[in-house]
Amino acid sequence: MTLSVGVMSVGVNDGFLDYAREAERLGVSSVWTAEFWGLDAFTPLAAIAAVTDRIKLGTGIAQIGARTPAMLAMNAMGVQAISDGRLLLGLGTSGPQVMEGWHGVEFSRPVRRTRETIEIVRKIVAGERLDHDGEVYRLPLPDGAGVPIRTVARVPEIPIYLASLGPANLELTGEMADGWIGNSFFTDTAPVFFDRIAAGAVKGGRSLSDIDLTVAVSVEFTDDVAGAGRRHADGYAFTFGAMGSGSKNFYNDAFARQGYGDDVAEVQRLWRAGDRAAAAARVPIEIGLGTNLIGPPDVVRDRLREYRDCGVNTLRVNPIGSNTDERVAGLGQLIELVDEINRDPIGRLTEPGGAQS
Amino acid sequence: MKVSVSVGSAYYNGDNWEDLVEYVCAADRIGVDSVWSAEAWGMEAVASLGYLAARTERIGLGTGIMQISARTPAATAMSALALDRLSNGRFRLGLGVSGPQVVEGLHGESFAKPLERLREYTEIVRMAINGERVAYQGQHYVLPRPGGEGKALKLAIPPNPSLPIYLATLGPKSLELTGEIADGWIGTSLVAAHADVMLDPIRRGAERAGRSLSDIDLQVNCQLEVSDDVDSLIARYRPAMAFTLGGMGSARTNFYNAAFSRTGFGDVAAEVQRLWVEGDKAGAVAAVPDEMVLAAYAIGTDDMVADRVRGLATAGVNAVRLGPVGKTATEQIAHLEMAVDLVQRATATAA
Repeated sequence: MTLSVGVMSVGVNDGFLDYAREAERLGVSSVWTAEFWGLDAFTPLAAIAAVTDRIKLGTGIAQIGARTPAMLAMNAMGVQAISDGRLLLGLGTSGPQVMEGWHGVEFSRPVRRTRETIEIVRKIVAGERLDHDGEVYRLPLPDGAGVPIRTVARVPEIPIYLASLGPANLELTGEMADGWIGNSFFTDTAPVFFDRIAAGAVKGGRSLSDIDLTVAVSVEFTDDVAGAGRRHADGYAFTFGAMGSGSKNFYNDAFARQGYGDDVAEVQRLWRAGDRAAAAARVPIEIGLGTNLIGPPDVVRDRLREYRDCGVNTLRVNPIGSNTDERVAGLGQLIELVDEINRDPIGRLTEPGGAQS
Repeated sequence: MKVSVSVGSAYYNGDNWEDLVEYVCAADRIGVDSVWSAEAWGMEAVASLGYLAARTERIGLGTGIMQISARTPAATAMSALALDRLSNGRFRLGLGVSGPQVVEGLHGESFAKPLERLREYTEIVRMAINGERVAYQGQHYVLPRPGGEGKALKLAIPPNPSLPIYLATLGPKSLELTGEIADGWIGTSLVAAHADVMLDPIRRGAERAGRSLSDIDLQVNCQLEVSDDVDSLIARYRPAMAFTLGGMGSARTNFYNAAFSRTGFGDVAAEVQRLWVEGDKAGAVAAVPDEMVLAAYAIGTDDMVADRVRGLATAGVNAVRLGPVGKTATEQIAHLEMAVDLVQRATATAA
């Protein structure tokens, strides 16, 4: 298992270029940006490319629909060209609130849209003439002035990662993507995700091991496990209550599939009723502890082993710290711990299809 | 007169990136005002500037241009703010409509009503960058999407209402729009002796918005090369002019051809295009007269080029945008140093 880091939420973290440089020095495999309704995901990667040499650069994620599929490919090729081929193109559909509210673009058929976007992006990156007769996209515009265009840019092949949570999107990931960007993920219910990815992989004529499985966690080295776990749990009240709409919250669905259905429904109800404090208190502490690495180094080491053993290839860690130096120190400690567990034999392999989902 | 430089071109394929970086870092040291990226169907305009923001200290960074049909207005605002943040406020957002071949062929979007779309798009980008809640009722853009699940959002990071927006425009109506709503103009195909053809509409637009032409940063591209062998220079630049008149856009829609037609070269522009479209490229090149090549490009002896630059300054142009000239980064940097010196000399005597 390797470690990766993130440098963004809605904006870039202070000192993110130094942090990326230090992460590269420590042997972190990739650095990831994000995209909400703040900064875009590609531009900060371009800046990181200018100050690093080896670390892979991932968008986690670039929103499908915010750009035309061709521009998505061109953004990706732009970063790929100036980074000597280090881009990992992470894609996600975002949600209807952002797509329809902020971008003014219809949020419909997200899985189909994702499939066609991947097809178009791969065609453009491969240097083929672009025509696409799909259900969501038709290129060139029918009856328009355009003819199929081949871009002049030439770049190495770009791995595509998908951020997926629902069963159909997970299967698409297995079928088409080079990697998976996971969240809302518990190691003991890993088959909820991996069985679907594996099923898709079979459809694509390959296996689960062909897909780089990545999951994001926060890390807090502390002796106050209960206190820190509680704080992380409290933070989920916003995710369950405010994200998405009443009927559509992809995160809640993912937690429900892992056995927390009653809990997230109740948190959402309390949040929507206006009682945010009660909503936070109602989030089980197991959710805070189970989706992050919290505790003294021994506990964190055991937790790292759980991720490695369940099949995660790349753990995206976010060491909590009040400044870059503290985060770099936490990262250094994590690198040592993961080196230790990587020397251990794998304790428990989750066989795809072997567990309940 | 400020000097700016282009990095890559609209058809840049990503080759020799390190040389371009070296060139821009030199421009940064020399005191060049700004560097401008481009996009058509090669590289896009944003990634190169994100990289250069991390490698330079003072030089302004501009997109020349980002195609409006390729991104939602919000996505453009997000990239603009990223470049603004990464460059500590050195970014200028250049927008343009591109052309029907790229917009309909590559992006699958309708090119209809480009002028109205550009106005609405720029207004929405401005709202987003200003940190306003983005709710907009236009003919072409409606936000949030009607009947959808979204509500109007505002930027989740600190805004920058002073981030300048430049428009790349050529036709009279879009030039007026530039004068009315933009902070700067990315000009091309400007013939100094006929500068009024483009600057008058910008002035009209500016005055309609209660300001003047001097409130708008007027930048034009300027291919600049000095040699005493003027005939050779003309011979080298003649094919580029033929391509601009005949090969750009389509036979129906060629904004550049139309722009030159308005500067006294209408008959030539039509004839060159006719020959080019018929497949007689050699004939098209031969049909471009010497005086048109000399009028369109800043080429010739030192005196001739200085004269051309002075003409642009006198007309009201604030900045000339140069492209790299030379095969290696070393040659290109030497050319840039020569050009900056020449422009400064020429416009010092003009004042």
